[in-house]
Amino acid sequence: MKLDAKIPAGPLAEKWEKHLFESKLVSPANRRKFGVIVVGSGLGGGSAAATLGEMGYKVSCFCFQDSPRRAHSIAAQGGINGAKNYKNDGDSIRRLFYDTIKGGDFRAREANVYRLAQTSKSIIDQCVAQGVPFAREYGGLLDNRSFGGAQVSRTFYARGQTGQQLLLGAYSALERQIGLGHVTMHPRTEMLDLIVIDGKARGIVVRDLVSGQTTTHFAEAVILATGGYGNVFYLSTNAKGCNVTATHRAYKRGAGFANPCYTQIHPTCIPVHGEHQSKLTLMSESLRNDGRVWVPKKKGDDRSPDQIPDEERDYFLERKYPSFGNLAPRDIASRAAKEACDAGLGVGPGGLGVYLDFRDAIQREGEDVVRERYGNLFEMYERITAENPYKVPMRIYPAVHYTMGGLWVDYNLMSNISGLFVLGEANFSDHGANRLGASALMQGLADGYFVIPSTLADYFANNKFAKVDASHPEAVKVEQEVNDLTKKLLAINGTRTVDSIHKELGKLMWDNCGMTRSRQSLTEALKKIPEIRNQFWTNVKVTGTGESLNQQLEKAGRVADFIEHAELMCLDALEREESCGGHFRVEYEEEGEAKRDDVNFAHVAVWEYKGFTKKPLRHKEELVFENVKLSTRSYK
Amino acid sequence: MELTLHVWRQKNGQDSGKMVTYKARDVAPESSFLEMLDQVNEDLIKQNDEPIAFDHDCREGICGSCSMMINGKAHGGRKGTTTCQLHMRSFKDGEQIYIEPWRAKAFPVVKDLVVDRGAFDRIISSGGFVSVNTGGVPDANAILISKQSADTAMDAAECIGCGACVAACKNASSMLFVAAKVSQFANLPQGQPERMQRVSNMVEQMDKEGFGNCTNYFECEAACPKQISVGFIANMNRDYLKASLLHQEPVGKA
Amino acid sequence: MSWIVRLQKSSLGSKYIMAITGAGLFVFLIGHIAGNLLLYFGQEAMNAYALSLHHLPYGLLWVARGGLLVFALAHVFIAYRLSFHNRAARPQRYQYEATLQASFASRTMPYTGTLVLLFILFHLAQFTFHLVAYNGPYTDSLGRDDVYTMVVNAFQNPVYSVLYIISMLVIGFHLSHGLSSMWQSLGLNHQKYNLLFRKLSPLAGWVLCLAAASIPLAVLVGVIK
Repeated sequence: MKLDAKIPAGPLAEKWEKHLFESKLVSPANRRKFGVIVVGSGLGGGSAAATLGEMGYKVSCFCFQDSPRRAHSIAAQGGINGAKNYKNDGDSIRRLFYDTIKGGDFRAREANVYRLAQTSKSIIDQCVAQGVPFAREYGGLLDNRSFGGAQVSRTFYARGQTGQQLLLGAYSALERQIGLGHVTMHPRTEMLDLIVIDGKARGIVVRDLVSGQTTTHFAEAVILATGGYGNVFYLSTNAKGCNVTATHRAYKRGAGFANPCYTQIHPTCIPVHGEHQSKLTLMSESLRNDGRVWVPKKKGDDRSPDQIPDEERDYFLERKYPSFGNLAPRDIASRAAKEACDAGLGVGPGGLGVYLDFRDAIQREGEDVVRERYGNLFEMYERITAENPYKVPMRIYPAVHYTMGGLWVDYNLMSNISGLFVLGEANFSDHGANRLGASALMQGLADGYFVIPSTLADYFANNKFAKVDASHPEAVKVEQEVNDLTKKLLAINGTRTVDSIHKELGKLMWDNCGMTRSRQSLTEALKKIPEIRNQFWTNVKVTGTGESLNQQLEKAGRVADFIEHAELMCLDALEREESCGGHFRVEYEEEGEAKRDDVNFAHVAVWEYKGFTKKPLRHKEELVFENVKLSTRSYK
Repeated sequence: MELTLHVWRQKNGQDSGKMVTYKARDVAPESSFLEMLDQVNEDLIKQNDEPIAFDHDCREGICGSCSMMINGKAHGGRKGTTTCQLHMRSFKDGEQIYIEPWRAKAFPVVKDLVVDRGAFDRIISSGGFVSVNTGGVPDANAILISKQSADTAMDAAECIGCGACVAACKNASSMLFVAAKVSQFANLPQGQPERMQRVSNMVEQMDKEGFGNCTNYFECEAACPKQISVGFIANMNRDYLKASLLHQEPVGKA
Repeated sequence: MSWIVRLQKSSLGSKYIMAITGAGLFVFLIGHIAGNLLLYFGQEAMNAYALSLHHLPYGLLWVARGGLLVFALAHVFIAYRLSFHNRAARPQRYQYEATLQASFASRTMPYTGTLVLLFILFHLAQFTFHLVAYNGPYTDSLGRDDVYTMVVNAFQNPVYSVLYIISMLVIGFHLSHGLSSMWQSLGLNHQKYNLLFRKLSPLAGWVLCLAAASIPLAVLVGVIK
């Protein structure tokens, strides 16, 4: 596997501009000769499809949801970072770049992250021009807030629905192109395989989820913007439909999968209520600005929280991290909560929860002030738990939220398969081992609005494309394989439901490859996953037929991929013998904190598929840091 | 809890469909409504029955996928709540629950509780945007927008496109949906250049899709999980009136 | 002119026509009922008013009648067109029907509207075309049409007075939604004036209809004889 990151030479700040100039162009009149397939319609896919449509390419966009507007980017709450320095508080492109690199625990590419920080400014301009109703100050200027422990206010927001508003902005731009006939939209259509012809990604096989028909689609380039794989854990803050199928099947066709073990666990989610739970709900991180996190000091203390006096409470974040206190970064706060619960101090059903207490804030500033700040979050909490957080402390527990790993891409966002581009959460490129708050939206839109239009043109201009269609032997073969897989799933007719197997996998992954990992837990998982896989392929029950809307069949295909992907995650986690960001190995720690190994692991691990049940091959892309000094993250 | 469910089952768009009764057993009060249906589906699969198809995705009240009439009320009728955020503690043990798909000519049933809401996308496609291409836009702070306007636009923009307004309206009218998008842009300076054309095109498309008309029941407002105000419908009525009576093509040459 | 055809066909255009014609009909109703309240002031006042109405200059009476007819026909035509269209928009009804906040009046507009239409036809047949229980001609001592006696005679029959009282209540009910709805249809919804739009307007409708209903009641109990 050849991994050339194609990072332009020259000073960091000039790389992108230089690259833009050196990239070849496709003249407007010629663009309609090039077809582009975009899979996914979230911030990455939606913005890319719209922009490429505007430029004049022939775009086909696919999403499994009933409308492109429902992609899970919609659920992001907090905001989007932009290095505008509107607040005059010392922000700059360089500072956003540095914060992102450091937040990612020095496991991301400098050049990519710098470009992300550069484009962040244009993103805000673009979204405002589209009519995204960002929060405003009384003078009519844009409002900003500080987010996720950042020391500057660079986060733009639209109430608690920033992701929704940005997605609707991209969606409306996309719908405009659909109306103009530049983009053909295929909703309720799931990509099931990638067609690679003569070393180039030239098409995809999809299943129309309503009719059950599989069809092939061809173009000169394929863009995957299909999000992350957090649902490997069954319970996560992802939408139920989020899946790894598109990226995993591309991986099986030869695309390298980078850093699959990097998963982000968000500390403030509503705890699991019982075995029928299907999904975890995130509560905005901002709650930790005023809420104090604690557990009882005594094990098995089942008094109601207001009966536990202060001296019998352990405000563990304040105790361990006196300078950051309750605002410690996501990975650190999550692990601390897990440790408390592992020690048997957790609260609520099953002991899997810690208190997030607003008592002091309410006493200090009054209930009205607290209501003003967090009213909608408190309402949401009460709707879900039927507990009134003004009276009793909230209970929170960490949950899987985001995956930093993804398909390997070079500086042009192209994977190691020519013509296969990967955007947004689906690629690995910008967040290293941990993502900062309000950066996911930024990355998706940077990739779609500003990066892919130039890099794609360069690819088109530099390549010749033979004409291909559904009769091409490779296309016929891939489509046949997809149909065979569907038949196989329907034929097993065992006794286990798809969900029950997915839950089993999720629990195994959460226990063994979750917030903390160890050689032992990972080895155990790697032993058990093949058993689950075997169980799946011999005993799963998929009802219905392949010729109609069949949600069980959709799920089954996705879970089959999750099982294989889980193995890859564990393997990657096992072989990364260090702790960094979202990857915490108990063997590599110093006084409870992650201990990085920059000598041996300052690289991207890229996995090459070698066949079903065969061990994939690990490649490395060394990370070169010329502009930042590698340091230890400390929040004490 | 144990509940009796009466669920609309329909194999596909051509099938005539019927209500089928199921028992939901061992339902935990803290489960969401969709988790209760998941449970029923697990039982159905074990009995070799086809599970009930329903749209859902984010399960946190923002994607707008979930769509079902629960006892005649869109999303179950709890204020500001989507089906995915409706919890079983709002029901009583032993209760009978009727679950039906959104019903409208413009939202044909695909299967069971799943309907095709493509009409909404086509309405947006007809004008629910600001015509700006990527790049070449002014600095974000070059456009001053009063907080009041931005907040009003945001109130409208909160629409999640779930279709509860259509489902709840006795006339299956989509005016709240269309009005929310029209008003979002009507309240922002970015939306002004195309304001008249936008409202004309969107209303025309809405009419083509076969939605009913607004007779000011305001049932939509009560059913809307984002509590979008019918004030926006008045806003749209005003704009469309102005567009119809006063808007003219460029004056041209004498 | 094609834009007018398009406008009246469009959903929103229909709403405007309903609102404007409804408002026009309401204005007529104010005049009509105010005039008839002269019954409380005796035969002389009533008959003089009726005579002056019939001798309006420049054929204004016919202009008014013509306008009224156009408004009424448009209101009725669009209303039925809308009702059928709305029914078609939901070909399959819900098995379980429930309502969150839509008022009873708003949900029954096509039905109350039909009743009002039937009443108007009856009303015209009785007092304009003298086709129902007419014992006239009525002429007063000055040789004028004795509208006063005609009405009092008719309402002394409890069948007619009760029918009129009920009809007035139905109109009030119809107006209670119509009069608030018309503002909204014309785009008038404003935090500062919603009290007028949503509360005072329907109240005005009720006051008017109750005043009208009081006439047959007054005849029935002998206040007017």
